[in-house]
Amino acid sequence: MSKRPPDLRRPGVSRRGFLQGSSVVAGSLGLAAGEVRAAAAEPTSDTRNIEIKINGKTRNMSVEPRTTLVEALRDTLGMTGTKIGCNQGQCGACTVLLNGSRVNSCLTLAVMAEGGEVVTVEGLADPSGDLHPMQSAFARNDAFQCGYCTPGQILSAIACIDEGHAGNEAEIREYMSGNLCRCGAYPNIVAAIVQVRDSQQG
Amino acid sequence: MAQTINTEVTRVDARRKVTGTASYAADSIPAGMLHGALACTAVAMGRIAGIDTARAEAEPGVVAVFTHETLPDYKTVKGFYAGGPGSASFWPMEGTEIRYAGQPFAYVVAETAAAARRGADLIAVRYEEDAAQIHMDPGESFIIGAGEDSEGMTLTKGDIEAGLGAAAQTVEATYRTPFQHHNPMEMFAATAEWRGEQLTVWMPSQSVRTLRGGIAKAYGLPETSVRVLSPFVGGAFGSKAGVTPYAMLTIAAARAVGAPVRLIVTRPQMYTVATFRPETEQKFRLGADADGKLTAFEHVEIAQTSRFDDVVNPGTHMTRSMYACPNIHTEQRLARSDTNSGGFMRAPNEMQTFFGLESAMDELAWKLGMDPVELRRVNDTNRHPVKDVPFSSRSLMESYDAVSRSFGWADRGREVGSMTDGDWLVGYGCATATYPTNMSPSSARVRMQGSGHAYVELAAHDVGTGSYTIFAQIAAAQLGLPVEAVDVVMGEADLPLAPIAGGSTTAASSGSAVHIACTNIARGVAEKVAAQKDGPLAGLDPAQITLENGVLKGPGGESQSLAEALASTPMGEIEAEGQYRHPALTDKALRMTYHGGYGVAGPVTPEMAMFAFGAQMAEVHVHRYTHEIRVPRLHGAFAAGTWLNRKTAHSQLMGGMVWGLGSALHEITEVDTPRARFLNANIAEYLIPVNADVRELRVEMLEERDDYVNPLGVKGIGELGIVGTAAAVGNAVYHATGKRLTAIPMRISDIVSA
Repeated sequence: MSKRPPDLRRPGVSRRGFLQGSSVVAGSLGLAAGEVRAAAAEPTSDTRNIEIKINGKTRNMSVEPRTTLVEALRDTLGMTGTKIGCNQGQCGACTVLLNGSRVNSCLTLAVMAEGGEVVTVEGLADPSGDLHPMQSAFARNDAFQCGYCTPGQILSAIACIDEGHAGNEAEIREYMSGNLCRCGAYPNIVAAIVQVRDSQQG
Repeated sequence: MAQTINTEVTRVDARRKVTGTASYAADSIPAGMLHGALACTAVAMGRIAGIDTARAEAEPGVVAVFTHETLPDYKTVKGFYAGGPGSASFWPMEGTEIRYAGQPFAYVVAETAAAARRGADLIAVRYEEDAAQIHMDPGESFIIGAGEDSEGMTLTKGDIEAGLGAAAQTVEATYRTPFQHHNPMEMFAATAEWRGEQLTVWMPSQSVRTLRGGIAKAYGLPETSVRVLSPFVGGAFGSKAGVTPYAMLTIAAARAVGAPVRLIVTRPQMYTVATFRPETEQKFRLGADADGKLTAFEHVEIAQTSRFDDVVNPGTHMTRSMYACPNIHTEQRLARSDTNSGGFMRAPNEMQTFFGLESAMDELAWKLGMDPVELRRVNDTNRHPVKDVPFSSRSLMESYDAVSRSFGWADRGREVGSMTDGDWLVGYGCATATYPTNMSPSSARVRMQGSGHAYVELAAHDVGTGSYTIFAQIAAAQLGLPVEAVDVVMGEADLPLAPIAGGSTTAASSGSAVHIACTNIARGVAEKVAAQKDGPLAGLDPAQITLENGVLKGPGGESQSLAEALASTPMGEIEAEGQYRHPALTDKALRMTYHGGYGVAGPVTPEMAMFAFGAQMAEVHVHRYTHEIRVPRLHGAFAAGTWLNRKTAHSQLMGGMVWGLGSALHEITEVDTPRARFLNANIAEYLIPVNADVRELRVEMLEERDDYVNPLGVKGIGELGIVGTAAAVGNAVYHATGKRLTAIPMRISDIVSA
């Protein structure tokens, strides 16, 4: 029986708008002088067996309830294509598709994906090795420099078109603003998305 | 063979980057790996009075908790500004002393990353807290290495007061720039694996040789026992150059627990466990005659530094290199406060000083009633203003003319506030960009096979700059191979020496080494085929055989492709090293580089001054009522010698301008003054430009030839694009509003209070 996880997509929410609702302060720096620094709640350490379809393949794994989807992918399954850029849901580097919607896999617990379908950057090229059109467009347009945010950008870009949020360049810029690129490749990212959108329409 | 230099070549590592198979440091997971986590202090100054690790140790999954009392075999190195490889001179966890907020005081090792983080949260610590001051006090500034030597921290040429006295107009102004953090997308990480006395470290690095040398020396190991691997780096911008405490703690922890350990530093911790751009104050006094010619140029830079390092990034050396002036006075000053040591962040000497200089030049232009572009033209010079040697090439005004055309500079309203777009006040601004051409020594090894394949190996780094691609292009062009037939291996300390990926040196310096190695390949093949019995080049004098685009040519028109010639030799393959050293590089600088440091020739040699130049223009809209500042257009034109790859070079300049936009409008590490700590230590509240912030951004790349800088005629461009952007934006704000903003980032509140 497949249990559909909650819809984590936040349509129509820009990065800045989203951040207003999620003020995050460095936890380890929040104490006054002389205070004893120790967390209060007792942790749990039980594990759960979960099943997730990842890139079309059913994977079973045993995770703690606190394990995030990105750490399950990277550390439990060894799928390191998905990157961690902040672990706080701020940068979008860890973006994957969960049941077709883009999510920050660092803010998604692995157990929340139970029974769901996940697409990561490893699942985009076809089995013969031909790149997904968005991957080709990113390469052709030099839509990255260091490449670290790229897996997340590409998955977000695919979803951006699928959601119908690639109508014009301004809209693309707005709906891609949850994926930070410190190298500043934004104009090339927009160009890549425009090319893929146009080729899909043509 | 198609031309590969000065063309648009898609990155050779593009496929790996778009498929998620490019391996960054934290992607290597050695068998049996455990996870590390840091616990960092909440207070900025004082002592650790006690640490209780019992609850952390009891946490399921936690393997060990180390403090200054319990971590065995933890080694440290000397700081960079004290001549060592370390990111700072003060090392945490050597004792109880606390000298900055967010200083590591414990290291947890656990079976999972979550357990390690949880363990770090469960450590109870008591402090004895002392008062701390995080902002510098400019009134307490001092000069290090004071002297009248122009290489030093002060310089006086002519008579500054006389120059000011003779001026038709003067400008006296102070500009301020904030603490900034690099925030590469890839978080700091280190994985250490000991096998007996053999150590392997995976760590994103801008200098694998510096890292290996520092670790080996600290542990008393031969360098051959330490492997440092950093094949892909997820952005660095100066933050990943040194040997850091988080690396040395991980190495010690891995040894102590007898298993590989990987630490991924959290994003908030990244603000305190490594370096940053120090806050600065830029004081200018400029004087000019009625025609705009500078009669006096004074610049005093005061930069923040820690209590334990003299972090000096001499920006005055750059500003005094810019415009002709008979009377020059500069001072490079530091002022201490209670932080970890800052360091170099993209254009560490130039970003903040050119915000000041180019804002002051704009103020001067308005006072003189001159077109700001013409003020630059009047003060342009083909000789270095201090050293009086010629510039090897200088296309400053060509850059201004090109960007003026693309931007439509001539169409601007001549008065302040003369252009509007609905409720938006519109302004145009311009500023100069420059970056020194630093030539570092470098080596490279090239192996070529007669089947038409080549391997290029060197301990250089691709921090996103495109080094893998340009080295493949350089080798392919010379060896007569397609770019795809050249494999480039980098990011390993065992490979031939290459410099720190900093100061925009890699393309020009290591590119020259690759070029020389390929020349040596051709010479070796020529000698072999000339000595053979058969073949088109048999029996010729090898000294008369030349290489042209992958073809060996004899003096009488004989020719054979290099690959064919190589295939005809019994071995069928050949290997050669290339060692590059700029003729002006001193032995001291050479020695420094080979011992893990940063030694360069230039930017001013006894014969020439080597700089790249550019000009930037910004259109700014300031809302009449809300005072929001928007930048709908940003144009730049740049000249930097030979463009190796027009695609990756364009990306570097564009990325630099995005950084400049960030400095202008977004980036500041906010400070909690009473608690002496960085406040917005995360990548949501530390604003960097997002996609929606970057609208029309145009980069024009001008042709320029420079035979002096290096055999390829290349100048580094990794940092050029950021220089001048903030001033161009600020100058446009003035044009739009008549308000001169003297601090970055420029915000609504600054418009209101200006």
